[in-house]
Amino acid sequence: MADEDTHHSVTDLSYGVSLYHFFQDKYFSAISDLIVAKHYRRLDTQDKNPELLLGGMYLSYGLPQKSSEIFNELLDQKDNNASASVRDRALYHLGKNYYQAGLMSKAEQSLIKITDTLNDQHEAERLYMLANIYLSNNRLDESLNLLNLIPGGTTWEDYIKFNTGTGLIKAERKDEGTSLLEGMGSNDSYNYEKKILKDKANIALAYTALNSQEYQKANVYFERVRLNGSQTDDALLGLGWAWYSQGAIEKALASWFELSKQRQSSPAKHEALIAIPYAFEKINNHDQALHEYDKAIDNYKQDIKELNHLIQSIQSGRFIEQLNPGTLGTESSLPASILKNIDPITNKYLSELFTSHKFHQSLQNYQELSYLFYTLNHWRNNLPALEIILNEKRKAYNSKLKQGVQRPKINRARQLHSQRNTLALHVQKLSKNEQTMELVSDKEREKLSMLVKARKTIKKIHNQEDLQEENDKIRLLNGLMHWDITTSYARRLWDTQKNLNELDHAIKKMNTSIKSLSNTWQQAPTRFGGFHQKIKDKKTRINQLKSRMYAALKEQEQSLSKMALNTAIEYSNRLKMYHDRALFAKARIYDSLTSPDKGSTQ
Amino acid sequence: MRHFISRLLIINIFVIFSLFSTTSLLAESSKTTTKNINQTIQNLKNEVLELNRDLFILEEDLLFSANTQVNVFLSMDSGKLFKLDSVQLKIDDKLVSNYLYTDREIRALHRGGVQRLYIGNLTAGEHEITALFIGVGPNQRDYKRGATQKIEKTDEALYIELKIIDNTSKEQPEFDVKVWE
Repeated sequence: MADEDTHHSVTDLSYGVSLYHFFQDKYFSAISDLIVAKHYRRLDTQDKNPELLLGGMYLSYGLPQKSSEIFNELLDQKDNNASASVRDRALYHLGKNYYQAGLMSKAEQSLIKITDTLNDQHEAERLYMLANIYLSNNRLDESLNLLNLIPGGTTWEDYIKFNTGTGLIKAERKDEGTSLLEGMGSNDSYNYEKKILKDKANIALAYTALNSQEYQKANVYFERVRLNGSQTDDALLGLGWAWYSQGAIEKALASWFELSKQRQSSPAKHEALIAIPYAFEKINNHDQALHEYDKAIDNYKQDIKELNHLIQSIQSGRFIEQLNPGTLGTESSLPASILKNIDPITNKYLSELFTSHKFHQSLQNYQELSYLFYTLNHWRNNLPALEIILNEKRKAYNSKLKQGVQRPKINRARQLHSQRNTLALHVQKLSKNEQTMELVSDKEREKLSMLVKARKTIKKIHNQEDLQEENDKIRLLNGLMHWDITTSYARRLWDTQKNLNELDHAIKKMNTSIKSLSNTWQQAPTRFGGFHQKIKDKKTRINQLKSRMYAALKEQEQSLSKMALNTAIEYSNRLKMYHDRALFAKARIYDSLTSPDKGSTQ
Repeated sequence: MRHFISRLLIINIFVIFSLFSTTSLLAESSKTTTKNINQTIQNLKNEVLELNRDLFILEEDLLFSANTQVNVFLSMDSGKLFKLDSVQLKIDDKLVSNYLYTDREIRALHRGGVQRLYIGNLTAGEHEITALFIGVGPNQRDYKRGATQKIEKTDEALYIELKIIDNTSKEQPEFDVKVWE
């Protein structure tokens, strides 16, 4: 299938047109191009690239079954002289299909059959999928071994290391897992993805150390996480707990205060808001503890209020309005470009949802359905125009039939053809038997005729006058003309044959046009009838699909709304819990302060 | 204080666990619902793809029958010597297409995609095709170049490719018209 940044030299125009749309992520158009080209047999059947592309595009477009059918067919072809490269690519895509569908056993069977013709990126991705398959079946050592096979320089290696490392830790092979993650956690890179993975590796190492009560180690790992990354909040929260566990309350407070200043809301930030006053309680600074509890309560109240507005906005449909693409008929808006336009409050509380695979998938489905709905409307609006054109063509045909335009023209062409044949026969005779007078021009014939007349006249009046001189002149002129005609016979014949060739060329062109016209003329009645019925059928089909499409769109809107609503409610409940805890903690402090018998809060 | 931390963590774990438990039950039923929705969407996509194909074929057969059909395509080389902005296409001195390119489309052309610039009808016989390419040439200067070709239309569909090629030895772009057999 077409690789990311390489230039593909195209030897097939229809395949190239499909690539043009594919490279713009317009999978619907690209697939349509190829299947229409297949109908018209415009693709080179020897070249397997279009099939591979089609199979891959079906997968990218969310049609894994269709995709698998194509790849299975490619692999099953008995007369398949497909190169190892084609087979490997087919197996790779088939394996990926199964993997994405969660059919791990089938995915493994396909992926392990691949030889060594994949490019580095695809080979690395193949190993990544295999690693995850092994990890899902607790085959940790096999996953580890894959790291020896992976081509260097790809990000897939880091993903395998991360997944295998965390898998080993979960399986209580802590030292091996830690060693794997350590390498990632201390590796500096300019690559954006690698930086994120580095942070995640350090977070995983830090929380592992925290759980094992290795607080100083946890500190080291937390402090490696970037202060402006996606893991910053978790790192600051965890660092605070690590310091707290070591009794270093001021240091814990420093981390949590830093976290509380982060602009974006997050669960970690909300937890820090209540951990801060709790830490002040621990060092018996009740005034500060009460003050911070009040701040936390205010913060929670404000956020709960915003969440209530967000919940109302989702329930009223305003959230879905924001997800509609800006322009109708835009085939390939990436989910990320739509989410950029979401209002800040919604983004504040739902950003984690927006980064989830499930939401992305649903949003992409929604966009694709919207585009399909637009396409159906486009065809529904265009079909009447096709009907009009068909009717006009039919009228024109019937009118010409009535006038009998066709027949006279064909008859005339036949006459010309017949005349040509007669001429050609005559020229053939002349080339075999020299007949000089046949190639005389009209002017020459006229002059000769004049000379004959003159001679006759002279003969008549010869007795009355002496016309010997005139007679001699006429004889001379006659002689000259005949001499010229005789000696130039070969040239005249050649000119005649050349003219005949040119005539043949013109007649050939005429025949081509007549043939084309005749074909069209003969096929017209059948085609007209066929087209009418087809247009009628398609109209019905469009209407049926439109109503189903509309229902699916509504269902998808509900699904997206539900995901957003559940997330918002869950968030709100969590904040209410923190709010109540803060109130309870305040009451407890007041209680301990006002009752001398109860002593300290410890 | 340790009691409090423990209680805090336990409560958090309890909340998370209880959410997880209910979520698991919900997750199962929502998985089924999601699966149904996904299958519905897949079915719809398949059906619309088939219908779309049939409609394109119907349109082409009705409007552009094979014996009069002419197609003009555009392809590009790597684009290092010429940044294409737009193309004008004339057939027998009549403007039939005037296309302005987006960056995305240019990138697709650079990678080897081929654009179908024009589809129309021509009578059999001789015709003239002229393309005018407008963009930015070497040394970042405005660039306008034309290419003209006489073509012979038979009763078969005609395919013409406009090619923009980087001639690295001359450090200039070249514009070619190729008629496909």
